[in-house]
Amino acid sequence: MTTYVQQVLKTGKNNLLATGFTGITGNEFGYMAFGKSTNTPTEAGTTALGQECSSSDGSYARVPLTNTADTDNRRITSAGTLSTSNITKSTTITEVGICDTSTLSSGVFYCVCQVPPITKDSTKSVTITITSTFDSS
Amino acid sequence: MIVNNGITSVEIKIVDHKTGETKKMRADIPADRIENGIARIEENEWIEVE
Repeated sequence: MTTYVQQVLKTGKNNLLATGFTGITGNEFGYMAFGKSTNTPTEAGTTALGQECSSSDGSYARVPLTNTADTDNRRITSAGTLSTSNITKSTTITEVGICDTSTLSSGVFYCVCQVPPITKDSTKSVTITITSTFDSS
Repeated sequence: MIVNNGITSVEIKIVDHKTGETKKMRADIPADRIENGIARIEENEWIEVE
């Protein structure tokens, strides 16, 4: 049975701290990236998607995040949508990440999430919603 | 104490603009399955939702 790993990265944790505290420089996480690798992400060893989609997949660009806070539950929900005009050639998406820049193959990643294979082309739009919780019970 | 820090839910929505069909899948990760920011979802834990 296939296991899909949802990994918050060491780089992501450090950038969260850097963004939130004065005197340490960090960038807000504002973009979602999509990729094609099935490599399992690890906390310290992974810093980006295994194989991010590219222009050869048909007008691929990272998409802006829409974030919604649920302060009662120390939770944030982050959504990104690939429109029909973003990845227009038939491409199998297997990984998604949240990052701090729209520039392809660069930036700091908060997380890498493996997802069941999604076939994307110009006939489909795809929305991924990732919920992060910082809580204890 | 269960520390539940990490990704606790992932949802995928696919809209086929040719057929008009929408498919939505969701996986929720229980608190005790998150360890140091890592959560694992088994294949059969993705549930199709309305």
